[in-house]
Amino acid sequence: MDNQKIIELSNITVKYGEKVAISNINLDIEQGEFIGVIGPNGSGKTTLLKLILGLLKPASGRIKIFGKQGRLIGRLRSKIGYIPQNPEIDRYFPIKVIDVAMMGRYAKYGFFRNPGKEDKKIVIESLEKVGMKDYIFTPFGQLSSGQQQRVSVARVLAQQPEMFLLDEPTANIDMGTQDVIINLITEIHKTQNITTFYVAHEINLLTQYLDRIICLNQSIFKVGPPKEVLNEEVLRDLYKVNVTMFPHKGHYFFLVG
Amino acid sequence: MEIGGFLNLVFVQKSLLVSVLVGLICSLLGVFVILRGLSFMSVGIANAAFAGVALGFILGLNPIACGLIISLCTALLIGHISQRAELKLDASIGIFFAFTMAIGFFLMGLLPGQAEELRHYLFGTLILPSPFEIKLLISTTIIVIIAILLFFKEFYFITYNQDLAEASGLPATFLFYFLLCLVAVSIVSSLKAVGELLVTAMIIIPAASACQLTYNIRKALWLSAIFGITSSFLGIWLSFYLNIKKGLTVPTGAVMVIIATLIFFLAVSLSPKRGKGGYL
Ligand SMILES: Nc1ncnc2c1ncn2[C@@H]1O[C@H](COP(=O)(O)OP(=O)(O)O)[C@@H](O)[C@H]1O
Ligand SMILES: [Mg+2]
Repeated sequence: MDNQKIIELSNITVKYGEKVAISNINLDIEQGEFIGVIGPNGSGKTTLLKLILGLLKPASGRIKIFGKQGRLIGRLRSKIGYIPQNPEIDRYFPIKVIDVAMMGRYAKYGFFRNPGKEDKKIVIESLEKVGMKDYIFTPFGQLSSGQQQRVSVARVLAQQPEMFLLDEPTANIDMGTQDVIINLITEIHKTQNITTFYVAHEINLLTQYLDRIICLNQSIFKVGPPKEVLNEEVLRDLYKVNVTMFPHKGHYFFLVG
Repeated sequence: MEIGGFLNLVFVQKSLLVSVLVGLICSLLGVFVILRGLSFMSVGIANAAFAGVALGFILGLNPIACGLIISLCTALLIGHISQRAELKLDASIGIFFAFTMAIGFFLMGLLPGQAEELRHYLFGTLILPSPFEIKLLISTTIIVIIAILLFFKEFYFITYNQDLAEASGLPATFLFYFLLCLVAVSIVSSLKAVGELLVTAMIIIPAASACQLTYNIRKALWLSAIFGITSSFLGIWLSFYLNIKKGLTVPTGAVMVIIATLIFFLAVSLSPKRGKGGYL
């Protein structure tokens, strides 16, 4: 079981109309890997996640996921817990914290069935794990963005998926909450061995936990364990800025300049 | 004769029943319409429904059936455009909206003999809907209620975030079209009682009032239904009153919308979302 491939991408290109978003992607992911995805804005990180989720069709190339050839459709997607990049929400939308988290359970059932007691229990446990249990009946729009992101994590936890696709879950939130979310995800990854994609710009917070990091710039610029892949030169070429590497407590930290 | 005396008349009772059903379906769907941001689209659908009715008169077909077909096609078309989002959405619907309205008025001009009858579909009338229209309204009410009961969680999810619903594995696009079709059918069913110019107001205003008052979606649906039925019932009742007691003919749609709007202002002034105290 250990080395089972959960995703196989060969020669994938994805386009929006005529515009190539990612190209020539070859990537095999094993069950249980913790993968970081970095790259400048517009480098195709979100596109890569949407491709895996089956929301986008490759213009060319082959995709195999969960052992099945082809794009994921319909309810199979509920095997993936997805946190999209900065979801916009109307502050006055009539939805409470528990309702948002409950949406993680919705796709588990077909039509005509509503979540029951068991689902409620799972949802409340998930909210407890992210430290939001005291806010169950708070309108979602009244939370800070960090709290909203915690609830999003609770939603994907409640989904009990086989894979996480997290698109910048720690963008625009304070360092403390970033730390909480990263710890939470790494903890779940460790205990449940869930294959996890984590798109982030916070390289320093994250690299120590990653099995592999993908440096994306339309195609895969570099991929491998962070210690082997990341260095001043790679980051400079990727982000087009000068980067200096500092050793710190057995890890490396990168600063611009 | 006391004020309510005319309530004993059978056709008044039937009209009031029609008003209750119209108020109910418009206000229930309205909650999903405003939360999903479809208000403008529903105006476009209403315009198309009227153009369809006029077309029915010209072709000598059942006008309501014609309105139904045209408005369903329009709903699917507008939905399709919005899903592709190539043109900026409000611009494309704005163009469409003007076009369908122009067609409706143009066709009205071709039918001088039936202008009076067409006016009813524009402004709403006390004249009892045809048996066909009543059957349509009753069927629509049943369909809308069953659909909301069965697809509540799906509709809620797609109004909250359609992309996320799609990503979670729900057939979000299908549900979106289905919702638009329900709106189209409800608009056509309500056309004679409210009139196309104001039917969307009966969709939007009670729901907007309800959403002022609660963060609980189920309560929002209940409140919206109460506000919708109150407005349409009082609207028809007041129109009858003015007609029978004072000999005045006011467009029913206008009276309903005035009442709905008064309720809206009341809701806003009581709204906890405007920074006063707790919420329901
Ligand atoms: N819906 C879309 N239509 C057209 N182009 C898009 C769309 N979404 C993304 N793109 C383009 O595809 C490229 C990759 O985008 P994206 O995957 O969002 O990058 P990232 O997440 O790394 O910032 C960008 O050049 C972007 O402009
Ligand atoms: Mg992105």
